[in-house]
Amino acid sequence: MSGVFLSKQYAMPYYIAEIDKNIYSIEELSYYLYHYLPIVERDFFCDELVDYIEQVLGMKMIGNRMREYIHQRGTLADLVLLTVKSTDYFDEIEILALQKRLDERKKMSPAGLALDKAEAFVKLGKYGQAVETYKVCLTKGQEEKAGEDFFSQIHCRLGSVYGKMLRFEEAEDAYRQSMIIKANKEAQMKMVLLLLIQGREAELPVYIKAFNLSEPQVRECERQYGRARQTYLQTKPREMKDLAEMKANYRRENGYH
Amino acid sequence: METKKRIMEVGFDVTGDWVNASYIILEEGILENFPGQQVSKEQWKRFLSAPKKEDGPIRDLLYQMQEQSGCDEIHGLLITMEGLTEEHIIEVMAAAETIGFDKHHLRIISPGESILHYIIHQKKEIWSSAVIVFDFKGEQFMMRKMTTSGLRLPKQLKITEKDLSGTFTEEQLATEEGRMEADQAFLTCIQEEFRRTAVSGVILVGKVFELQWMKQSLNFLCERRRVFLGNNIYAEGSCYAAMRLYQKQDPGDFYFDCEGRTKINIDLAIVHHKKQALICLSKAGTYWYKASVQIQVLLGRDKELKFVLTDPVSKETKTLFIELEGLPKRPEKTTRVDIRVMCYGDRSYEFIATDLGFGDFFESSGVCVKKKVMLTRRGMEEGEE
Repeated sequence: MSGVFLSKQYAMPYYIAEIDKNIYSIEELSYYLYHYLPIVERDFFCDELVDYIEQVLGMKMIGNRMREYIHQRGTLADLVLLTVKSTDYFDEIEILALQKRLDERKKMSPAGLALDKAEAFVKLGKYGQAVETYKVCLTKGQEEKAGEDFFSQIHCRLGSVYGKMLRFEEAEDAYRQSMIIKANKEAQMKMVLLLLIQGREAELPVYIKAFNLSEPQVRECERQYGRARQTYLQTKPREMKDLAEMKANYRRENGYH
Repeated sequence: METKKRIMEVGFDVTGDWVNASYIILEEGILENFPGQQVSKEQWKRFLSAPKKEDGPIRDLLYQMQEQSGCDEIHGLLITMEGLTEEHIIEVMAAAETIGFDKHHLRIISPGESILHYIIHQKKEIWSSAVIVFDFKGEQFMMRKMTTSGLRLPKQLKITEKDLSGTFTEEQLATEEGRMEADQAFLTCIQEEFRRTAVSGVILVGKVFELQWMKQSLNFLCERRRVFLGNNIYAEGSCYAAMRLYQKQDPGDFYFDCEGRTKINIDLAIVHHKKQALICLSKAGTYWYKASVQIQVLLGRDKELKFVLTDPVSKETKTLFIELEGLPKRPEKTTRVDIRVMCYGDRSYEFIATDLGFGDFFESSGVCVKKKVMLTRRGMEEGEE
């Protein structure tokens, strides 16, 4: 939309722990709800948030309505829509799209919602929270008696997150678990990539044979590794080195091997 | 039973050699002039340059006025002075605060504006046409003409000034011959001026007009118009202005076009309730030292701000665009811009737009664009910084 909108940023922030960010206005709150919807839980709408909306943002009517919804068991969708409709920040099309997403979420199972949330954390780079949420996915999946495809997929994604955290042994365990539940090419290829990253090329033939990987699949793993390595070296080699050292120290101090 | 507080407003005229003072009791609307020559120009300057909490002459003057009036409280102080520069205004505000005056209850106006307030509180027949004030202060002789225009509200009250210094001198009036020359020179001057404008009232300010030297010129002045001596008009005008502010009289009935008041309306184009709209940032006729504004907006798709500047009298409009070049690429509506419109005088404006980012989601890039606008005889002129 063209044009400018009046909007005030207040000096006092409201801290959103899930994304480790402060917001300073109703527009930023709306932006968070819209763009980070998978990680917004109903208990995000609490008395502290209402106090902030009423006392700092000076929106008493919205605060009152929100308090009513909270205490009369209004749904997450009710609370989100109440907030985003209180400003001019989103146009009608955007609100309709949000409404559709909220409706879709109502039909999702708890395990599906947890999976959505975990992936949102991965996108945000909040790997610790992603790991915890993937674990919740596994629990919910068991409760819902989900199929082996689901568990295999979750373990594989868990392995990827551990890999990003440089927790290679846990990553390897997660990939193995994924393959035990159901043999799948994604986990197999990621396992090969993990070996390459760790410099364990000598072990590759055994795994390639065991996984029955084709020549193009192995080349693809090598290409991915090469690309990742090239990016590290070209972009911020020094920072990456520092980061690797920092992570190594962290792992040593916290008993990770 | 609780008795109602009696409140007064004080007006100072610091345009001459002495500080002239008047006060107005708000409940009764009684205006009183305070006996003059209590505080000299030098004492006033000393008060401004090095104010002390226990500053004698000014505080004494205020105490005496309060005592004479029997009021419980002096609500506000309004000062008429020449040369409303930023430095002067800051100096006066600081000095007044030192002796315990709340700066929000202090206003400073130009002699022209003081005349406007004085005149509109006189009988309408006096200002049915133009009113001219001749103000003789030794070396400086000023003519200030008030004209009104516009049948619709707000009615424009305009002051135009002309420097007539040198038309005659005080020394000339010492001899009979000199007096005749001065009378003739003044007559020529007023004939020329009055030929162009219908004048219904004349006010003569200065001790010089109390001397018996005007013959022909006085006869001409008194032809079908009211003529007064008005040595306290600036102090009284200040009181009326203060009363108007205190009573929060509708500013919509008059538009004051004089020194010290802004000359243009400044609007910003925004989207409000999904529709294009203009929001008023600054209204013409505001005291320039109180006209600076600051607001924040979010940018949509476009990376520019559109301001509309309008002269309320000529209706001339200028559109000012401020493009925020160098902004990092961000999604729509995730760039908050701090807009400040600074007034550095009644004809000088600066527009400053600064990128604030969007909370913790998008950091500020520090991009800041400034544009200056000057009002000149040729119109509104734009300049980059």
